Amino acid sequence: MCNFTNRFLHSTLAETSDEYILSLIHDKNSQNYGFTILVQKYQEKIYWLVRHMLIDHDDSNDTVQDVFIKVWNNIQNFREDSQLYTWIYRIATNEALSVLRKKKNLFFLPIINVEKKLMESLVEDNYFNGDQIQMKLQKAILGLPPKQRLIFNMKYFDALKYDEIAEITGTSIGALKASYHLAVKRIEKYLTSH
Amino acid sequence: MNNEKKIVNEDEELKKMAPVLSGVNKENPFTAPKDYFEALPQIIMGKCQSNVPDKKWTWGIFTVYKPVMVIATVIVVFAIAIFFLFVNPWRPVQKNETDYNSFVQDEGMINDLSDIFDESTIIEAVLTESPENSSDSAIFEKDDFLMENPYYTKDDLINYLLDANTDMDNITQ
Repeated sequence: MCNFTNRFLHSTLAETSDEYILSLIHDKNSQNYGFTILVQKYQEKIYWLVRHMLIDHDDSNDTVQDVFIKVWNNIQNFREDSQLYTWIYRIATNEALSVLRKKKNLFFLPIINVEKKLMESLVEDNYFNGDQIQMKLQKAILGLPPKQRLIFNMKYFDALKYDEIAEITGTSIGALKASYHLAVKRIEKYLTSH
Repeated sequence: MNNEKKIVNEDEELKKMAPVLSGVNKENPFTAPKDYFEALPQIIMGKCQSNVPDKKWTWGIFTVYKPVMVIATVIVVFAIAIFFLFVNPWRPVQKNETDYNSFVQDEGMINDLSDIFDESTIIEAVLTESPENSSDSAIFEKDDFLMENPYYTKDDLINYLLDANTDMDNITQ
C-alpha cells in the first residue's frame, strides 16, 4: 500500500511541470507549497548526483540541503531562459565541486589524497550495496579528475544528453564527448588491469 | 523514436569501446537511510524559513592561514624596507654628507693649526705644497717659522697634516 502511494506520488511529481511549480513559488500565498513540491520532485536526482561525487552520505546530505537553500534564496531571480532542472543541476554540480575543493584545502593535501579519502569512505560506507565489480567501477571513477567524474556520472548513471550536460556544466558538446570518451577508456583500463 | 535509436547506438558504441564496463550492472549501488527522502523536504523548508545563510564558512587550514600569510608577508616586506632605508650599514654614504664631514674635520684642523702657527705660515706652507714635491723637505728649510722655532721640523708639520688626514685643497679654499 505504502509502495503504491509512493509510486503514485512520484509519478504525480514527475508529471508536475516546472512552469506550474514556478507559478506556485512566485505567488506569495503558495510559495512554501510550491517549493516543497520542487524539493520533492528534484531531491532524489540531486542527492544521487551529489552522492556519486562525494560518496559519503553525510557530506551529500549537507550539500543537498545547501543546494536547495541556494535555490530558495535565488528562485525569485531565476530567469526562465533556461530550464529549471538544468539550473538546479548547475547549482548542485558547482556545490559538489566546491565541497571537493574545500576538502582539498581543509586537509592541505593534493587532490589525489582527497580521492584516496573518498575511496576509504567508499569501502567503509554502510550505504553501499553494490557487488564487487560495482565497487571496482566506483574506485575507477574516483580515479578521474573531479569534473571528468561529474561528466561521466551524468552521462553514464543519469543518462543525460550531451546538450543537457553542456548547459549544466557550461562546457561545449565536443569537449564533453572527448572527456566522456577518455573517461570510459581510463575506467575500462582500470577494470581490466585490477 | 530518434532518442531511443540514439541510446541504442550509444550503448553499442560503449560495448565496442569498453566491453568490461558495459557488462557492469548500471543500477545505483548506493542507498540512502530509511525514510530519508520523506523527511528531507521538511528539513530543507525548516532551514529556508529560519533564514539560514546559504554560505557556510569553513575554517580550513587554507582559509585560516591565507590571511595570516598575507599579513606576515606585508610585515616582512615593511620591515625589510625600513631596514634598507634607515638602518642598512651597507648603505652608500651620500656625497654631500662626505663633503660636510670632511669640511668639519678640516675646519677643526685649521683651528688647531692656527693655535700653533700663524695663519700666513700655514697658507704659505699649503700653497707651496704640491703632489710632486710634497715629500720634498727643501721648502721647509727656507721657512722662517721653522728657522725661528727649532722645536718643529718640517717633518713634524707634514706628519701632523698627514695624521689629521687634512685635505689640502680645503685648507687653501
